[in-house]
Amino acid sequence: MNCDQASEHLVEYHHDTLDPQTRDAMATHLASCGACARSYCRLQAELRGIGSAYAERPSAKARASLRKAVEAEFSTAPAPALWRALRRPVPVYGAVLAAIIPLALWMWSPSGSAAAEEPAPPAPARLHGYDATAPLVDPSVS
Amino acid sequence: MTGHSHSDEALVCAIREGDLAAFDVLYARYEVRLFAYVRRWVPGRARAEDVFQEVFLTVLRDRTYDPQRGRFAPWLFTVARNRCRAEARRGAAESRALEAMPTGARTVDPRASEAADVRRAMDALPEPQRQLLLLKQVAELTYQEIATVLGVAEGTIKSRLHAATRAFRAQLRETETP
Repeated sequence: MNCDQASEHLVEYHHDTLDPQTRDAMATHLASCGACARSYCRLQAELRGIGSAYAERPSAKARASLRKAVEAEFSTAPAPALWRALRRPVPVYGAVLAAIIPLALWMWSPSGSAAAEEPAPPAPARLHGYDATAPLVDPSVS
Repeated sequence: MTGHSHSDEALVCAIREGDLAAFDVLYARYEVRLFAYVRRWVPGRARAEDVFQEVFLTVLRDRTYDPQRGRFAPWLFTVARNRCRAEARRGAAESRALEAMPTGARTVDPRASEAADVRRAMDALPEPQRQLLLLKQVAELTYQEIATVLGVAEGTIKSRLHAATRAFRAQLRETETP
C-alpha cells in the first residue's frame, strides 16, 4: 500500500469499515510511514476536537437539585412513623378495611340489619295446648 | 457501592435501592457527555439544565428499563434524543451553542477559536450527519450503542459515520480561521 492509497482509506480505517486484508495492509503502512501516521493522528485529533468543542458541564446547582430529587425518589431512609404505619408491613388502611368489610356485609345481609330492624311477629300465645284466646269454659258445667 | 469499576447497570440498580454514592459515580460518568449533547439541541443554559435533569430522572424512574437486560448508555441517549427533539420542535432552536461562548473568548483564546471552527463546521453539516458525530464524539457511544439509539444496523452506522467524518473534515478545511 502506498501513501495515496493509505490517505484514501484513512477514515475507513478509523471507523473500521475496511475488509480485513486492507485493514492489515493499512496498519502495516501506518507503522512504517511517519507522514501517514501523522495524518492519522490529525484525523483523530480533529474528531476529538468535536468532543472538546461541545464539552460543557451542568452547574453545581443543577447537580445538587438532581441529587436531591434522586434522594427523594429512591431514598430508603426511615420514614415518619405515620408513613411507616401506612406502608409496612401490613398497611393500616388495609387492616381497617379488613375489619369494616365483614361488618358491612353483616349489616347488609338479610340476617343482619334488615332483619334486626323489622319487629318480630308476636309469638303465638298457644303454649303446650293452652289457647289463651279461646273462651273460658267451665269444665264443671259439662 | 462507591467503586468506579461497577457497570452503569449495576449503579442504576444500586441507585434504585437508595444508594446515593452510586448516583454520584454515574453522574460523574455522564454529566459532560449528556449535558453537552442536550446543550447542542436546547438553546439557553437554564433550559438545557432542566432537560438534562428531566432526562436523568426519567431514565432512573422508568421501571420498564431493566438494567439486567439492557445497556444503560443507549437507553439514556435514546431518552435524551427524544426529549431534545420534542424540545426543539417547541421552537426557539435558532441560536445554538455558538451563542453560549463569549465573543471575547473566541477571539483571544486559540483553543476557543478552534472550538468555534469545529462548531461552525458541525453546523454546516446536514442534521443526520451532525447527530451521528455528536453521538460518537460527544456522547462517546460505541457503534453498537449508536445503532441501538438510531435503530439501524451497526454496519450502516459505520458507513454513515465514514461519510459524516469526510464531510466534517471538508467543512473544517473551509471554516478554519487562518
